Amino acid sequence: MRHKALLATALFVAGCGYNEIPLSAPVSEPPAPPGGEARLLAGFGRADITPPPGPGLYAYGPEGREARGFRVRLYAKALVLEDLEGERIAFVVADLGVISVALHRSAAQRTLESAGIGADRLVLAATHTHAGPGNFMGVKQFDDHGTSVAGYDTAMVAFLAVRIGDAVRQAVDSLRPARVGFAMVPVWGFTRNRSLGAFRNNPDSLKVYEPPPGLDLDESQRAVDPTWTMLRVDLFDAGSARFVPAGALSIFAIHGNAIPSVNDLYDADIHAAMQRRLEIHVDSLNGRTSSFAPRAVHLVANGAEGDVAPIFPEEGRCPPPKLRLGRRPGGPHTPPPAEEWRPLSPDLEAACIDASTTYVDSAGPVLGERAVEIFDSLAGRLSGDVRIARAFRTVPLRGAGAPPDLCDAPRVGTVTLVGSDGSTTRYYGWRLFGVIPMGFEHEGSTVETKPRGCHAQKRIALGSLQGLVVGKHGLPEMAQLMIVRVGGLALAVAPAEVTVSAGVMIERTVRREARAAGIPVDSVAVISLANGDLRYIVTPDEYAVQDYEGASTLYGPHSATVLARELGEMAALLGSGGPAAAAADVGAVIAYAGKLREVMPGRDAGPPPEDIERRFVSLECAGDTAVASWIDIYPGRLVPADGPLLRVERETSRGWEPHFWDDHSGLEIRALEAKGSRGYLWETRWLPEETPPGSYRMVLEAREGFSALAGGPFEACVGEPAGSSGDSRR
Amino acid sequence: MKALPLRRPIHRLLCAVALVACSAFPNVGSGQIVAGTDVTYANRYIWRGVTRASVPVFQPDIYVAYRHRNSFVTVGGWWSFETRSGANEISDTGPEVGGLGESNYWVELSTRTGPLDLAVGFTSYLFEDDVPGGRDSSWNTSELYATLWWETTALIPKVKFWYDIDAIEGAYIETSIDLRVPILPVAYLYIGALAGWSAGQAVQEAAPSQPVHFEQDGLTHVDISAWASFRLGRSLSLAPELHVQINEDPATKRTLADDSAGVKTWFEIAVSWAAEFGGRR
Repeated sequence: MRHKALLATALFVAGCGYNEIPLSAPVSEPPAPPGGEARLLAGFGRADITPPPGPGLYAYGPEGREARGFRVRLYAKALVLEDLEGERIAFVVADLGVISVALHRSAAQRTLESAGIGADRLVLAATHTHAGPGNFMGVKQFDDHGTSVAGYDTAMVAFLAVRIGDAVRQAVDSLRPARVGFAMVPVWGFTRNRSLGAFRNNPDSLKVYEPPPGLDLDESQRAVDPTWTMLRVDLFDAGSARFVPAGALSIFAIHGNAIPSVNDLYDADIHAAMQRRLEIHVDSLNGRTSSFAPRAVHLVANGAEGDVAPIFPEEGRCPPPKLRLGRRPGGPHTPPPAEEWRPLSPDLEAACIDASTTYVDSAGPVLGERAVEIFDSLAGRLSGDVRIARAFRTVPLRGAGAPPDLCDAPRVGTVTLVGSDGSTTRYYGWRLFGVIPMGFEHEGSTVETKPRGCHAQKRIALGSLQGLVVGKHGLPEMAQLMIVRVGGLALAVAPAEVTVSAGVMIERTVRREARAAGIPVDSVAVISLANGDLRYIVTPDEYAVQDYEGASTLYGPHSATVLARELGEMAALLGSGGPAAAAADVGAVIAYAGKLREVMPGRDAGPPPEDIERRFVSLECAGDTAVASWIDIYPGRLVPADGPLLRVERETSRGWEPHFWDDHSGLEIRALEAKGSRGYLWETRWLPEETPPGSYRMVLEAREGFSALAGGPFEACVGEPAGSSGDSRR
Repeated sequence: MKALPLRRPIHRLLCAVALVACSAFPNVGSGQIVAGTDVTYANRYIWRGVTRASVPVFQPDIYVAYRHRNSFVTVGGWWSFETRSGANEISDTGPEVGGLGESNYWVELSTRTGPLDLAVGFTSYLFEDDVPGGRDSSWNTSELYATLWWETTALIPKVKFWYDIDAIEGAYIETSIDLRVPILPVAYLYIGALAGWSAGQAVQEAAPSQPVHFEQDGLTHVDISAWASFRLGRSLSLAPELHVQINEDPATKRTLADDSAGVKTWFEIAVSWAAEFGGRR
């Protein structure tokens, strides 16, 4: 009895320790019909949101590593639309794993101050890259266990919010007369359903997507939402006095987890390649050549992707660490070493990363090519006569005002601990005594054999102790829901990862309710992972199977029903556009954050620039990879970077010319080691695929306190593949 | 506690080996030094199946190692302190005395290649002078030893070999296998079976006055154990062990000064601390 009391006390203490952070409730200013000629306005913005090394990479849970640098920079991209009634809406898609309510509210506070856009007019969506930073969730369990670097960093929230605010302000500052048009085109063959057992359990009425005859797809590749929704935007160019292509907002359902958990670099994953291909295309249509960052902006938000993964190669997935006895010295009487999680060898990890980056660099541009086709197909179907409307609702999920069909308290199932198919954690496959299944798998024992209580078939991790371990306010307790109508396109904004079939439920309900209210909605698309993070939303039939997504549906089997119903009610409020239709319930909310920690190096990290002699230290070939190291200022000062850090130049008959900059996916930047007052040792690795022969050199870009610095010339490295994360860097 | 005596050639050899081993890795720099200490509490001190103290003991251990990739050179010391025993107890310190009963010093080279762990070492066993009814310095001796582990997913077979190069001049071998049993997603329980074998550490007809550990060569005992090793934070770990021993050699059957048994049980629990200094993270 005493032991049980001690255990309960320990677990209770483990579950305590949240930090209460009141969030602002920024409500947009009322729409003001523009003076003069009424017309649709649009503008784009872009901000680099690549943090410095130090935070944890988010979305693989504790398997996510501490970030050491970046491979593909992270951006927040903004599109602001304003219709002829003055209705304004901002779409921001950020290369992040998820969006937290804390981040959404903080960003909205800034956009309200700079552009009159509050939380009720800000759609802040994540691409769901699994190689973005964490530490900004404001939800205790997500802060403390969402990545290997535990804690909530207010500086991270502020950094992201300021830069997202910058992107929106750029978009508002560049508002110009616009014409828009949208298309919804099926794109098959790039995605697969990773929880096929759960999908199969749905009624046929929710399995609505069928590939055309002749496509050679297996069952998992057919069990997806293949819809690519694109809103193309052309802006009026005063110089040519005509509308010219400017960018697009896309929605496509695909997980951002092609890059595996053993990666230690920020990376925008497959979405970056999809975005960039269209951006380069639009720039070329306008006679611009690509440079460090394209001028055109392509936002790619995620759709009903909860159970939809990219078709990454098996070799792109590393086995998780194994629990083994530690490697400690000792003598004849030294007790056995403690067990420790033993990771794969660096060479094997490098092979996984190589396989996954190769996949991203090949599949991403091909997907981008489909985006180009859709974009071009819209050229003759654009209009400036488009009305905008939105409805926003803050829904409590617990206590007074919570929908009655949700469970009283959030719970995760055992399967949540083992990860999804293709991204399993170290606990996957664990059985008591090696033989008794305890739910640490994807089917079978994951279902509660005697369903009882609200959570029904969910085999709750740790059973009745979960409430103590998770603690009071340990998981999300409110949701921000939003509906946006742009002409005949309704966008249902969900703060969760919605599965294919749950997405169908939502789209149907929204369309039905909108039409019942007389609102001209032709098409509905779901934007997942926006304005908050409730983890997953599955249909009741998927929930009964308790695969990874069902186990991670926090509030029980009726979550999708509730979400569809709420969004349907909001759709009916959209009206025909104009200020009177606005519904904005932006309530005050509180974030219950985890440990408050400073994980992000500050702008004042290390010695000041004037004390540091920037210089190249080494340049060598490691197989086919050029590896250079240099001394520079500390993380926090060098990254975040406002502009390029480093470029590779090629010698031509005209002299040295830029070949590409450090936003090229073949180039990695990594912080290696502090050198005290002498500076910080950085490393770049360049895998020069399909590079023309000749002389190259690396050039550190000029920045405050430093002029540009060129390294010595070298020939492109030729040799066996060295791996993208070879031993030499660790 | 007395200092390590250098009177015997074998102890001078110990120091020489330690010096040579350390000088083999001259660049003792950042991240290459591991230091550790542990203390074991056991309800009785069983050594090679033989009851050395039938009373509770505390056994501190301290070491420092130089790490070179997956290899270590380690030097350390270990001491066995007995609680005060009764008149009928078995004790290294002698009945109704308690305190320090034995000191060991060692140097070890160990390495790991894939699933294999190999260690070779030299250890000295030192006892106090003038211990009526216990083990005195006439038992001082030294051994060379080698251990080989093979760690697989489910099983860990081990072979350990000691050869006494000083007072006894005989070998002792342990063969064992540990079965890894998942009891929690973050910990295993190990079920072990061990057999001890004497090959020259028993009474020898040619040298009947020579100190010995067993009465006959061959199988000495079989030990069935259950143990675990949990990490407590970054540097601490806890390792409880429970043993049931089936005794074969008469020396292993002794449980008290005037009692013997075919089976005996004991347990021990160790708290360990180890840290690596100055290295890159």
